[in-house]
Amino acid sequence: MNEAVRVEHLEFAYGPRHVLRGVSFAIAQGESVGLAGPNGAGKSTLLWCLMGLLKPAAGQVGIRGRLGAVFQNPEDQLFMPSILLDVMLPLENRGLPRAEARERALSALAAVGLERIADRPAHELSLGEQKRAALATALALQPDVLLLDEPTSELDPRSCRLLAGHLNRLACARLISSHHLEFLAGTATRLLILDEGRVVADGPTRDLLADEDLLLRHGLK
Amino acid sequence: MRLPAAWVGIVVFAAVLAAVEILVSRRAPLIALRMLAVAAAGLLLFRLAPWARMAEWGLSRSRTRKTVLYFLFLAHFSRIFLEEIFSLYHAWKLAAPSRWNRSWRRSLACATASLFPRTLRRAERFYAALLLKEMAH
Repeated sequence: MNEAVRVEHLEFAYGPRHVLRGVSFAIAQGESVGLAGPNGAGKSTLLWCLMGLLKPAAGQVGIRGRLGAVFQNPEDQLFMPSILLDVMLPLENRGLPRAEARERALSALAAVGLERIADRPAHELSLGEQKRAALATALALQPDVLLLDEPTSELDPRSCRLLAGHLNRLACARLISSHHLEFLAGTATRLLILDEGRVVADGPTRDLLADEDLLLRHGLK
Repeated sequence: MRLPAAWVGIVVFAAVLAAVEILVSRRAPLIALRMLAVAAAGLLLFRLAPWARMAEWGLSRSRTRKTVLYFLFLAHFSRIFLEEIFSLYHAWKLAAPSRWNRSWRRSLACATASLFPRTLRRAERFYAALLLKEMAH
């Protein structure tokens, strides 16, 4: 398979506390993979290692192409006076002419249904809109791999549905970390279950979510 | 009509100033009135200023870009800091309803101390966002 992400024997510890213990998996180009696990399983740490924000103690992470990410708290990603400027900023920083950056930012905002409120600042938007704006900032950079940390946390069912619709239209590889199993069932074809820093299950989302014992054993039910 | 929280301090200060002017100097409270007028004009200007357009204008010029970004980051971080203060204050008020006893003082000290790691965590996430936007090294 054409791999977009390869993780091999990844280890990470916060001081004496081991958070990731020999995590290995690969994600194909264009594949959408869910990452589920109980609190403290190491999901966020794994994503931060993939983003290169944490340095693993051992193991390797390989990302082919450009990486985009959406954090659990989108407010940390949006700080300009309007979401349009937020989306434009990294594009201009990359050297794109202003007009082109604006056009690409507007089309990224249109892709998540926010073009009509592009001139509003993030703190005036609902959490669902903020998450979609954060997604637009990542999409504007045309990533090959997109990482999402708890994209549905604190979202109402309608916002979850909207977000799932936008994610399902993407062509890039996605790793979606979430507790929301229904959301993962609708957005990920494959599921990884992480518990105590280890991948304890890896398979088709539908099959793993049908396994009640597995979900109970790993704190997902 | 309820006074906005930001105005309480200004109005109290103006009232004290007016009282001093009237009682001690025995004259009309002109300084207090002037202060209120300046504060109101400043607030109005702040509310009406087209910040987004000004920032966009500043960002489009290479000479002002860095300065504008600096102030935008500063404003964002100030908002983070204020948010953390308010959320901690509400949590602390709910957790320690009785006043002035030992546990109240201790909980206040702990809440204040926890402000720093909380703000640092938010700052780390903000820095991570900048890294992902290729704006930090």
